[in-house]
Amino acid sequence: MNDINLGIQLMGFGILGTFTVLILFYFIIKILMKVFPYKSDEQ
Amino acid sequence: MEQFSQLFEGIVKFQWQYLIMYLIGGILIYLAIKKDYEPMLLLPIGFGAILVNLPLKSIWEFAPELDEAVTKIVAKYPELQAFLAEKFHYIFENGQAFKVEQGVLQILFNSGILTELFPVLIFVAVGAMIDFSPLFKSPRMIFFGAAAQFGIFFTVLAALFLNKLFPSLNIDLKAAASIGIIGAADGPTSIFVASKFAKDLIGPISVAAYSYMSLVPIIQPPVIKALTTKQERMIRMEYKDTKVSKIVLILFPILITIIAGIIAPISVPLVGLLMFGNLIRECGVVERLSKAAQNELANLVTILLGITIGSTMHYEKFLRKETILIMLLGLVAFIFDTAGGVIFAKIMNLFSKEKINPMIGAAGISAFPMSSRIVQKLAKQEYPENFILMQAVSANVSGQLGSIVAGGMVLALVPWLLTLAG
Repeated sequence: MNDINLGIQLMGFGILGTFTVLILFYFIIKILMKVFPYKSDEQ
Repeated sequence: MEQFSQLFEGIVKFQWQYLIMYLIGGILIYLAIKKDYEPMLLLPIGFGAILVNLPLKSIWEFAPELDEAVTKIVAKYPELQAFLAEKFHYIFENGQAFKVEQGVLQILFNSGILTELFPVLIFVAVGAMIDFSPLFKSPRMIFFGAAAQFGIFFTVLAALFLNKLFPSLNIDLKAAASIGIIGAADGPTSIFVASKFAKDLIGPISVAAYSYMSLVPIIQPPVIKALTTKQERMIRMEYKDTKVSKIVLILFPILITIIAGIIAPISVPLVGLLMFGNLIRECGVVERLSKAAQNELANLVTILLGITIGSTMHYEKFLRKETILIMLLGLVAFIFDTAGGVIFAKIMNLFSKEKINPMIGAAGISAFPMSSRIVQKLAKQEYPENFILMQAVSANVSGQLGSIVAGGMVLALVPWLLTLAG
């Protein structure tokens, strides 16, 4: 396999992987905000 | 006569290339002092570049000394030669063994860069400085932190393509990945990846990463303007100031570390220590440690990191065509990061009811807070009452996460792809 092919694969998997992980983080944020909403007595 | 020339060895061994390196070091120091471009890093890097290009290079290594005992041992057991050269800094000439003692900067390089200690310690400090709460207030901005990493992967491909056109450049996948990671707009991540994949390129890669980070206010606006219409730049966005619970801020770094550690274990030194720094900040019970990480640790490691990176800029390693290529590709990475973020925002607008000002996408790079300030400035130029700074800050914080995730991806994928390719 030549380097250009490897580069294309790195690009595909890399972008996909980065998006996947950050989408996961997005859901973590959503869940945390839902489960632990801010209470007015906090401070 | 020979003794006399020994007295002036510095003059005798002076090379004209040193002058070019003094000029380069001087330019970095000038940019740091006069233009205030990343002075914390460019100043020590510039001075380190001068230090390591002094004749005899004694700050890097001392003159070789004949070791007769080792010479006898190697004569008897020649198989030890490679081991002694690698582990104990011996060089061998005409069957004689010479011990080369390390100078102070080589000791710092070996113990702080090759072991990845300095960039990792910087992550603790950076983590202690990051406030993730803007991200919790506009969570969908996190996608720009991913989109604006596009420049990394585009640049890897560009580097490999250039190598195909000019095979003498000798850029393999590891070197291309190290160059591409300049697009993370995150100095420690660039150094971390380069120290794994292309140790010889650490100097130019670091200089490119920090130089372009400081040039973000010059690089981003024309790219943003070229990709957006005036109407798009005038889009206003509603901002809800949601309050974030303390427990969320505490749980976030712990959960992120666990998830990142499971998905990409190789990224743990990056993500884990960044999140450790953030936990120190958010937990509220170790104020002293948090302040120490943000100040003493950050300052001390920055000094050592900067001067050690500068010391990798010996003319033999720096004055090469690869350096010019790295500087050019670094610029390409920043341009395509910006483009990736802006274009992704425009794509999101096709499917979203609440329109996003596409300039926000450009703030998805890791250069914090410069990038978000630029976006706000451009928004204000088009429409003086437009205030999108908070959303831009959210995207910018996401960029800090996105850059280390992308760095982790590169670290995990490159060895995997090379194994697959056999």
